[in-house]
Amino acid sequence: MIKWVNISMKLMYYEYYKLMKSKKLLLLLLGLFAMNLVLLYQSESKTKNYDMYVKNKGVYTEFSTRYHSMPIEQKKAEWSEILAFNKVQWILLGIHSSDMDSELLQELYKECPNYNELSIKYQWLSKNLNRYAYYAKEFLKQESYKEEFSEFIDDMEQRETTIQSFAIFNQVSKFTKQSTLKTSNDYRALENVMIQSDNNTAIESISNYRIPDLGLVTIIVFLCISLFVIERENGVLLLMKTQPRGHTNAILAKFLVLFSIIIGGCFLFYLIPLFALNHWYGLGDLSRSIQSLPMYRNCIFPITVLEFLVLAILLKCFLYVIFGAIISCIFIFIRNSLKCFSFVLLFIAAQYLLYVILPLNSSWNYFKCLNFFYCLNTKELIGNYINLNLFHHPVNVFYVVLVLGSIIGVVMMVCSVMIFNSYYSFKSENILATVMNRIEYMFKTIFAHTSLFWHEIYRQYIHHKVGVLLVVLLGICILDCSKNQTQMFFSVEEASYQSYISILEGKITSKTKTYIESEREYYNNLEEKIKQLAEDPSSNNNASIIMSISFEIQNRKGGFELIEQQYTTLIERNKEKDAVYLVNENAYHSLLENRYLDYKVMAMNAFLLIIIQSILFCGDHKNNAIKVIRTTRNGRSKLYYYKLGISLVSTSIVFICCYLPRYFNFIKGYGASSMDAPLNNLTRYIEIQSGITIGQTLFALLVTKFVFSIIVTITIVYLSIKIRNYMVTLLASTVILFFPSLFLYFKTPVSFHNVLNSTYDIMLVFIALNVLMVLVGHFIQVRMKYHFTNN
Amino acid sequence: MRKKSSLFCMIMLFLSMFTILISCSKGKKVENPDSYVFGQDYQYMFYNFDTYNFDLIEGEWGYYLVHNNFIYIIDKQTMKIAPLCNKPNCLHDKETQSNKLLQCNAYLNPGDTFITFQLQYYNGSIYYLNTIMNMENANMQYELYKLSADGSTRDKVLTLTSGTIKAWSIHRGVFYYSTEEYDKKSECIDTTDQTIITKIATYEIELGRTQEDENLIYRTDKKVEAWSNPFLIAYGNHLYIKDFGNDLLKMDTFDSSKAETSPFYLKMIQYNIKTKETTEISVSDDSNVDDICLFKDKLIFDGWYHLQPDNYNGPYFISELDGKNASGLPINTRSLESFYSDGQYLYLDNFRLADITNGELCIDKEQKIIVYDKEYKEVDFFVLPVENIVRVIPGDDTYMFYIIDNEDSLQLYSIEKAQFGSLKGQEVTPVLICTMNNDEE
Repeated sequence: MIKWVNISMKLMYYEYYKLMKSKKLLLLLLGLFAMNLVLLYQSESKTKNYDMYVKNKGVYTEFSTRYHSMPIEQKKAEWSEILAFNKVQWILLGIHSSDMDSELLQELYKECPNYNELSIKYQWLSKNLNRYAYYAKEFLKQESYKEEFSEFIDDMEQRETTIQSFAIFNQVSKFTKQSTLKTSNDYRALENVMIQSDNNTAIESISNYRIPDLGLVTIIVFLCISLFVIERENGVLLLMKTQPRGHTNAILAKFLVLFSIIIGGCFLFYLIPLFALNHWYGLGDLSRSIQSLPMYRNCIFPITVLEFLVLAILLKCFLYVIFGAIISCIFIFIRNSLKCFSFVLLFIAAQYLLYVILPLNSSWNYFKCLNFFYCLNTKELIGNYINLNLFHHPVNVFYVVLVLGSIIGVVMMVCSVMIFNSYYSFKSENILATVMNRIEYMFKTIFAHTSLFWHEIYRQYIHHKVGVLLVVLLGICILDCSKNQTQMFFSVEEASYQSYISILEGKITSKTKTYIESEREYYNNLEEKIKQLAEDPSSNNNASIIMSISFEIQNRKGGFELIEQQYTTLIERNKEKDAVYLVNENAYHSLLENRYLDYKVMAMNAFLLIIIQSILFCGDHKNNAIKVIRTTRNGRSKLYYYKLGISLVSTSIVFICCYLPRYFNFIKGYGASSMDAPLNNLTRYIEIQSGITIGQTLFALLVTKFVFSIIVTITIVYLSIKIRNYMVTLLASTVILFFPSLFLYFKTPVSFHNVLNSTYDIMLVFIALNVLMVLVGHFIQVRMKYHFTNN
Repeated sequence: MRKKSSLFCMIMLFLSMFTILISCSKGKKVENPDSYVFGQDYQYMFYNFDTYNFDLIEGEWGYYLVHNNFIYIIDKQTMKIAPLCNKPNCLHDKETQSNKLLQCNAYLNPGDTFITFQLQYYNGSIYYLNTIMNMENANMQYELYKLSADGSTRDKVLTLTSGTIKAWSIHRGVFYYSTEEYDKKSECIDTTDQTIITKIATYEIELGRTQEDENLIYRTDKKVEAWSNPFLIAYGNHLYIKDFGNDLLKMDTFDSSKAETSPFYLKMIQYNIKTKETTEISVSDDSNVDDICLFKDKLIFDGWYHLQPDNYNGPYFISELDGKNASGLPINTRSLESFYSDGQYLYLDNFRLADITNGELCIDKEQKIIVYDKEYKEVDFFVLPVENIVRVIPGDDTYMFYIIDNEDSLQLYSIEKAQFGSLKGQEVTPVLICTMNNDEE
């Protein structure tokens, strides 16, 4: 036993040593750690809390000191006065003295009857009034929450009795009945909890901050690759066969290393932001109950804020260890790098989708609650109170997570050890596999190429199955293009607008003007007729006639008014210009800028490129073919250019498959008649001074996207040359390309409209952007070639 | 490795087959009689003609009311009302934290859209329709949700991409809906006019299937422009669709000062669920059907003479559920009176004649309801103690309901049917179930 422990400890030491020697891991750790802090600062610095508590720390300290020892009733009275006074002050600031009449003033003074008195009393606040009002509002909210919470707990029993008095809740389902009783019972633990006012910003911010989760997931995947995949690919693990129980010791040591780094990383990734938040806002009194934060009102644990923080971090450590066990099991079980990486990505994506799509009270809520994205969110796991239906018995999700997590963790580890051991036992292949191998060998011999170029094409498209992927993609693209597009209108206005624009789309002429005027007159006449019929006492009051006219107005007028407004705006803004166009606003806006669709297509394009391009250079390093080619004249250079050429062809095909259907279907549905119209004839871009047309903008956008796509390809290829390991390249590409874009999508409203809504010449912006990207691409390419040919 | 993969595949296959078998065994086989079946059928007796909506529906254990995006349950035994949420730690409609509101079982989240929720009850579950923005094409789409009777679980059962859904109903496991569709005028009649024409199409989809499996039941004629259709009533093996609008061919010759040139048309369509056939209900060429009432497995409908100067509803007829064998209803009625029923009694209401907003047409001073039994004999009549007229929800065998919806609040009243027979024209004594504040928009 002691010997076994010694071996494991030694192996653990070597594993640590090996990992710490890895520059990649250190780089990744540092990068993610820096990203963690930068993003924390970025997200916090934009908040009002940061402005009020950090930038105006002095004022806040002054506020805290002033009210620290004041009796609560006096505090509340003064805060209410400050708020009322500030409200009137703000309104007065916003109103021009000439607009102010006595009635308005009287109305305002109703809000704050003793305004004059208060203006003398709070003269000392002067410029800080607004800030004091903010703090006062926050603390008053907390004071009212105190009462709310005490009512919430006191009335719990009464609510339970009310619920139980309804047959639907106590006779239909055993689970519903028991869940009600259990809930009420569980909250009894909070009867003596005291609510204390304090600055809750730091705890609320750390609860809402999810970036460390992303970083830790990346680190865990990387660690699993480093610990379980690289050695397997190198064949080092086979050497362990010579040791008694060699593999068991090795894998246990690896698990210990993995888990210890996860726990260390977890503390580092959460404690440092917590210290930063403490520095900015202060954590407040750590001995106050966690229920003092309205966000955690439903938490059933009678714990303090300090205990909550400890519990939250320990819980995260536990969950990441489970996650690590699952991911390592996948890496051990699936030996094909691409399949394995895709499976891990699918696992994470599936977890996220289930977390987002399913509501908490879905009958499938097991998949939402017993999900890493849910559990890692302490705000939900500790802050929410959810009972799961386990064979008609309500069980709190928190305990289910602990028990189930432990079981899954142990099972995954046992499975990993068993699979790890069984993989390295030598077994003879069955007859069918032998026959298939022979056929494959014969095929390869018959169709083998002596040309390096054709061989590279064969390797990439046939051997690595990129060809199959591209054919499937092309098939999907053709299917997408051949689909019949049906235009759906959610409202009659939309449909009516579409019908008017199909008549009027194009250059505005005297005919357009006449048409719009005649339509306006037509609607005015109809409305006049309805009025006459309703008012005329001699009329038959025939409801059907009024109805008939109403149809006309109701069904079409909304759409016409949209067109009329568009027409008027365009004419007013372009008085001196000869050519003004009426353009289908909805359709072209959606084509030029659809943030969701743009991101979806871009992400799909990037994902496909990662899958296709990562293998291109890694394969040669894996089997050392790269060294053999050194014996040929300019072998490496030739190989490099061939590979680069192939990757660019693949990139172009992927790009066409991703982007073509959208543009093709647009032209099929709406035509291309407005492509010549200036971009500023679309009301959203009306401020743009440039004479660029919609068609030119679309072309420039497409070129930019294509150049960007090539940059993505070059980046992936560069990473694959530098890293030399397929799976690490897959991970690194995903981290470098996906995560920042994900962040951009969720955090910053990056919109083409925002960028272009300036007076710059748009064409110049596009050209500059593309030139910059080409230069960056060229620089990477030069470095890449150097690395490939000289190493 | 391969053996393990095959084993894994086998286990997955077995599990999926097991799941399919379990889900199949849950499906109840329902007989389809030509009469009302509780729990399976559209609750025509709870349809509120005032709001064209189901504000109230009947479940096995209580009545469900939807108000301010919350579902409430009214216990059948005690007639007490509470939000449909069994969580004592939930403040329901008094919750101030929006994220906690989403955890309330009774809350129907309207998201970014404005929708008036209505409920339907089928097979022990409550159904409601919500709208959501499809980010990909920036279009709205509909989602049909199924709630367990106690509100504890909620699942999306159908997603629909369509134009505005004007009416929907669930009847015997099938989801019916009427949606607006649009054509160009030139595509409907011989004209160069390119303006749009609204059409109404009614579809059916079996619950558990997707929109791809939908079946078109009825679409308004090519040569007419339909108005929005809020009328989709099902009973037994029949679905009734009201279709009205303008005849496009008459639009050009239409003279608003002459009633006889009116292009207005009105149709009551009957769809036979079993034979999948549609027919128009009518007694003569010059009259149309505006109002229907279902009673004793018969169809009661009016004759609406819209071409006459005072185009009010004419005498009432009674026929088979498919509209055949129509004959006069053996009850004397005045023009503008209307019928509704709960299956047990038939009610004749004078609310239109007592409507003070009708000006000269306000003939009666009080809203009076006459109760008839299955033999069409007058059982009783009573007066409603209301200041303004209300539309009565006939309700079930025990209670009749009415809702007073003011700007500030909603009041729900019940009338016990046990007192019918002893009222003899007296003012009925309703019981106030609840008063709820209306949300400020």
